[in-house]
Amino acid sequence: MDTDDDELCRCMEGMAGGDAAFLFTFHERFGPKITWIVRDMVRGMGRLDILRDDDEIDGLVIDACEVIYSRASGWRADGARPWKWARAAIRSRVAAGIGHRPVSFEEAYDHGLPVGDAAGADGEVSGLLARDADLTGDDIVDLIQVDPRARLLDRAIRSVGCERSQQICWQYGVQKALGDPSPAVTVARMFGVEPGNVRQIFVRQKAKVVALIESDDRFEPLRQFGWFAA
Amino acid sequence: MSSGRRGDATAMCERLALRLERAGAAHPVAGAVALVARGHLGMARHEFADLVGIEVADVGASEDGRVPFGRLPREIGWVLDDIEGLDLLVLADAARASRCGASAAACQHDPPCSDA
Repeated sequence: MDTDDDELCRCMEGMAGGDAAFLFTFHERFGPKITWIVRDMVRGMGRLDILRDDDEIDGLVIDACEVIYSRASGWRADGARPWKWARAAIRSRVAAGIGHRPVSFEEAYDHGLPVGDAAGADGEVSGLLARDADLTGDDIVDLIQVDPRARLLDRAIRSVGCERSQQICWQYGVQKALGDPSPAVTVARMFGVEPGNVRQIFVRQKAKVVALIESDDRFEPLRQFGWFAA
Repeated sequence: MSSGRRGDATAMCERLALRLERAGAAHPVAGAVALVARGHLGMARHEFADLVGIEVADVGASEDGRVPFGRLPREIGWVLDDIEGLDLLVLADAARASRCGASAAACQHDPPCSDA
């Protein structure tokens, strides 16, 4: 553990205890990292107008730090860095903060955005997420690319249920695995539904995926996987 | 390390003041400034109190927004001088604007806002 890690742990510990002085510490020490992440998210959302406004970005960075502050008690030092761990919640706050870029019907039509064309030919998450930058697509796509089991899991999730249930299932599982104390709330904000609906959708989709994994030997490696282990 | 933008420390301080205001603090801007001083050093309350030589209770009262801007312990002010991007003039104006507006006789705060 280096000095930076020590300082991060101390900040997170202070914030977990509800000490707002450490919110300032976190912002002062790790603000550049959060700024980079927020700018990346804003860019991904196509809001170049916001990207050029330093005051707006400052406000979003503070929002992001507050997201981490409010969740600090759920963070584990041996897990992902806080900005990675809370990435979906940060993205959700950023999206809520800047609103959606208005896109005219003609513009969408010109760029060929009909939903049916958006998913990749292989039906994996990547194609879908490239269309909707508000989702934590980069995290999931990265995972699918490097981990064969994640790829298999994606295939299983994509094999049953509707597209929306598949996305909610992925996001809920990722948030839960990252230690989000309220994954249903985070995912509900992303999809504009009630947290209770998210839990119900996850349970229904999970039941379908478990049935598939148990009945289809192609998915045998997933039988011991945390999300869907019997 | 700083994020390099002059003013972002001020913006963060204003956000802390907003939190204190929502929590019902009488002097939210002063409270936020006190929090920022300790946050800049990354210390727990007792460590900070030991370092600057004031009572923990005084640190707590300042940070909870129970002390007006003008009556914050001067030791806190010494720390603030080192913080890049913290505009104390802007914050003093904000503190003045957040006073309750009552006369010294009518003000319910202790000490009265007009003394700040």
